[in-house]
Amino acid sequence: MKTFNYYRYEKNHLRCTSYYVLLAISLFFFFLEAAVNASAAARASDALRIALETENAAKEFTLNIFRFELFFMITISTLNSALFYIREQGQAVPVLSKYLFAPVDSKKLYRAKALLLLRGSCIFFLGGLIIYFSAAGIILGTEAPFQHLLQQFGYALIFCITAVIVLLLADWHRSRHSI
Amino acid sequence: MTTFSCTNITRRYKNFCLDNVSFSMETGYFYVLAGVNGSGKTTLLNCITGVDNGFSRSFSGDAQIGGVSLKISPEAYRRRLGYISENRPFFMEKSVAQNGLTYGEFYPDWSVRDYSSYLSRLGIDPSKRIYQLSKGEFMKMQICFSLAHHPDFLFLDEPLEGFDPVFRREFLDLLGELLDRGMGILLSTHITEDVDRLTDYLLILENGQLAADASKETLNDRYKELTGISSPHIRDLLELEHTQGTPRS
Repeated sequence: MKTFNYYRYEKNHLRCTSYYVLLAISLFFFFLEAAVNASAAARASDALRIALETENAAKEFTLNIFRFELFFMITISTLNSALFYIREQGQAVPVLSKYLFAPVDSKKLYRAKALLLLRGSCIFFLGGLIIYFSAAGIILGTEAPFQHLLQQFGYALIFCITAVIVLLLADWHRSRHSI
Repeated sequence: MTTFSCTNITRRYKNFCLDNVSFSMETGYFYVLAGVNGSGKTTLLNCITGVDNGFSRSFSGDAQIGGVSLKISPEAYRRRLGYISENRPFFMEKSVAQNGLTYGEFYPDWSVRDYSSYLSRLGIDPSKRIYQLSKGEFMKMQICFSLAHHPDFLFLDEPLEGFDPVFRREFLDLLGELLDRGMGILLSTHITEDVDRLTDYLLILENGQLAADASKETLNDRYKELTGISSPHIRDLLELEHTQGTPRS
C-alpha cells in the first residue's frame, strides 16, 4: 500500500493567511528600510567624498538585527500557531491531540509540521537576506559592506534557529501532554 | 473471515493495572466486554485500538487484525478498525461533513457517499458543527464515520448511554445488519440488558483482569451448573462472575 504523505497532507490543509500577510508586510518593510538606508548611506558617502575626498560612508549601511528578529518572531509565531494549535471554544488546543483516534503516526505528523515551520522560517530569512543584499548591491554597488552585512545576518540566523528550536520543543511538550 | 487477537496487554497506572489481557475475536460475531465501573474496559479498548500506546512506557503487549500488528504497523492496523468513544476528539468548530472529509483522508476505503447516506439514515445534519451535537448525535456521527471507512472490527465504548430507547433499538438493529455483513463487533458496557439478544461471546473484566472469555452459551451452562436455573441475561452471568471471582475460563 502507498505510504501516506504527511508533509503533503499538512501543506494542503495549512490555512494561514495571516502568516503570508505578515511575511509580505515584513519583507516590504525590509525593502523600504534597506532602500532608504542604502540611499542615505550613498548620499552621505558622496557628500563625505566631496568634502574629505577619501572617506567611504557606505560602510554605515547596517541591518537592524533587533527589528529583524522582532518581525521574525511575530511572523513565525503566527505560522507556528496555525500549524500546531487550533482555537476551540476560546481555547488553544494542540492540534496533534485531534488525531489521537485516527490511524496517524503522531511523530511523523509532528515532523511534517516542523518541516513546514522550518520552510516558513527559511522563506522569511532568505527573503530578508536577498532584499538587504539586493538593496545594498543596487544602490551602493561595490562600496556596499557585504562582509559586515553577512556577519550581521549570521547573528540573526543564530537567533532565528534558536527561536525555531524553542518553539518546536514547546509544541512537542504541549502536544505530548495533551496526548 | 478476519481474526483479531491481542496478547498480554498490560497497562500500568499509579492505582490501576490492566494485567496481561489476551483474547481473540472473529468477524461476524458480537462480543460484549462487560464489567463494573472501573474494571478497565475503556483502558483495554484504548490499548487495543492503539489510542494508548504512543508515548507510554508502561504499556506492553500486542494486538493483530488479520496478521497486521499494532506494534509493527500501527497505522495499517488502525485503518482496519473503527473505534467509537465518547472521548474521541473531533474538530469541534468544524461541521460534521468537514470532519468526515478531514479524517477520511487517512482511510483508503473511506467513502463520502456511504458517510452521507449513513448520516441521513441516522438523521444527522452534515452542516451542524460538532459542538452543536448532543451526546447521542455525537455517537451517531461517529458510527456513520466508522462505517464509512469499512472496518473489519468495530469497537464501541459504552455507546448506548447517550441514546433514547427508540434509538437504542434502531442502533442495535444497525449493529445486527453489520454483523450480517461480516463485521466483528466488540461493545463495552455495564448496562447489558440491551445487548442480550445480539451477544455471541462475553468477555468479563474484573479489576483489570479478564475473568471470563467464553460464548454466552458456555457461561450460561456454568450458571445453570452453579445455580440450577438457566439465565438468558448477561447481567446474571456478570453478577455470578463478580461474586465468585472465578478464574478465566
